[in-house]
Amino acid sequence: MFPNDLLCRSILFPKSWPNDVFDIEALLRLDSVDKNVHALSVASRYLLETVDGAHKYGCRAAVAGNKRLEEKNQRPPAPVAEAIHYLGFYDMRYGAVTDISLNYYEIQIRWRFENGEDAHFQIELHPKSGDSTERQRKAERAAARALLATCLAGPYRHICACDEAFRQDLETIEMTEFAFEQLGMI
Amino acid sequence: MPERPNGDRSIRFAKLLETIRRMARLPEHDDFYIDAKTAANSEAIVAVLWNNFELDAPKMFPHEGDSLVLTWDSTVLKRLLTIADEDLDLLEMNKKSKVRCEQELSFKSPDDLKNWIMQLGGLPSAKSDISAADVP
Repeated sequence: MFPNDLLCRSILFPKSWPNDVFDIEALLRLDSVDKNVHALSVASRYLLETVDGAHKYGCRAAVAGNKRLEEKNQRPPAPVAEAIHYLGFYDMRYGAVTDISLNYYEIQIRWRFENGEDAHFQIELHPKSGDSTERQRKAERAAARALLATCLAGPYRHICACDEAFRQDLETIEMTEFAFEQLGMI
Repeated sequence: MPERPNGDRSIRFAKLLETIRRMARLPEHDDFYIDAKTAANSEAIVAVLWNNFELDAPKMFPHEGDSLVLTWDSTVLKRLLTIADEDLDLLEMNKKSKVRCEQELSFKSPDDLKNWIMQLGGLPSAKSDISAADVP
């Protein structure tokens, strides 16, 4: 990847939902992938080719999430109230993310083929060697989410064809706007 | 002038408290779940911010199930207050330069709470009696 390559983060409602109560960092949850490594799922805009390609990727993620909910609860999730709806994506510039400097973690962006998705990448936090307490690392993971939020631009909004019946509900959901200048393209 | 109960600030704080309570009732695997202890401490802090200080209502995000982060955003600065059990971590960050300043705090006494809220720039409201605040 090159510094100006773009990564996108899908907006899946309500799983990761920033609004007037939740801040944008709610969208940037770092999952624990093993004991020490924490990761945020993103996708390569280059591999998805177009904005439409990025939307289709997000739609597939929502469908897969709803399928998992249905298997778990033995019933389909109720639309809007329970189900996951894809609402669009934010962009982040690869170089802006790798420029983030942390005290206890090193940021790496890795290609991680997942659920048949070639375009899936992870922004990973790998612990640096040296002394640090769990409290310090935990606080820094929160800081990392805030720092990643400063890299966002968008959103590109979208309503999937399968969500057409709920368009009115979904379109009224407010989303924080970040200027595209924030991408810091050279 | 006393704050109106239906004023914008009051509505935001009330929504924040209600949401924190709801988050503690979610199943543990939910992305928005926080544990009961963190929720109780967060509620206490938010209530004090609301009633005893002239500080804007924060937003928030849940962090790893056992902590809650309150956030204040201005054009230049972002402030995060991470609440986990009795630990409080304050981070101030310049959004453009990414320079940040971190502090470990705790709130074992009402005075601790008063000191760090003053650092946030929140002036005690004139009617405030922080020593009577319900701090766990």
